[in-house]
Amino acid sequence: MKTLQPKELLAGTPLEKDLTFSAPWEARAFAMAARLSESGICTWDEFRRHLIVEIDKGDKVRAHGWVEDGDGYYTYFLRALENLLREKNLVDASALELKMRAITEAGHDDHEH
Amino acid sequence: MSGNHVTVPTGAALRVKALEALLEEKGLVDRAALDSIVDGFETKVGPRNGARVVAKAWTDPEFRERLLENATAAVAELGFGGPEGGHLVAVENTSKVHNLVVCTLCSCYPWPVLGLPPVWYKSFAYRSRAVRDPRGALKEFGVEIPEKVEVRVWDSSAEQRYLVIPQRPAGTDRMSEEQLAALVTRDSMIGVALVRARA
Repeated sequence: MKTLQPKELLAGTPLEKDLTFSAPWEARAFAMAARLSESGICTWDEFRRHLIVEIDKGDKVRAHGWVEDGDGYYTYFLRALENLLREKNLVDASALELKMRAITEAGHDDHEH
Repeated sequence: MSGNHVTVPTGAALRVKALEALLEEKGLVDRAALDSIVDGFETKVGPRNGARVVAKAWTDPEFRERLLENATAAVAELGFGGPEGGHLVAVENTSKVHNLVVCTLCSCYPWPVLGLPPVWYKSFAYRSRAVRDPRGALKEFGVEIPEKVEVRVWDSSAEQRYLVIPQRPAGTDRMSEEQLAALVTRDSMIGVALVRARA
């Protein structure tokens, strides 16, 4: 629908393709944050505060002339979600590491069988 | 600091999978609820909702007034809303004022009427430039606002999110609400485009 691309604005960010999410994990991360606030485990504003911190860190990197791969937004989003869950004592870093390892190992086992 | 565990972007899918599994074990999320949120944003909620709101405001003066008065309640009349829409504010473009919406700190956006924001809306360039140099930013979208028209920039927050009601293009008097809705673009409801009548 849009014929003119804002070239300079888009410098360093992928061209708009009107995709809601560019990878399934982005959709799952978004849905988890939305669900947690929908069910009252946190408020969206609490999540937003973490998101702002992560985006601000990314902005400082960009302002220094080093642009991260892709638009980075959901990377910040995921970090914010992890920080929120840690703050709420719901998921700590070591539990997450253990679960990641378990999933990876289960994946390898599946391939061997 | 909790180590370097957030610095490997290739591991994002794995991290998310692990998080979901942990939250599921705690009974805080379930797969079906997450599926339905994703499906909603991918297939149901999107700028078509906002276009219907705008077309109705163009054709129904009483609805337009209700929309300007209390947009959250007015869009609920059309069945649009949700727990995370925040307080919606409709701002109207006129021959004297052009409205532009941004979220300078993150990505607040009127989900129930526009869905999720486009990539550029979340970009550093747009967020940093829309407030500092709105006319310049608009030019890059191909929109030149005459000097005599005031440009108002609205910075969104979790509590307050904005929907621009673009100006109805000339020569559309005979069009139905549905035909008008088809002219309204997402970008025009953010304020970075004007609505044009198709030849």
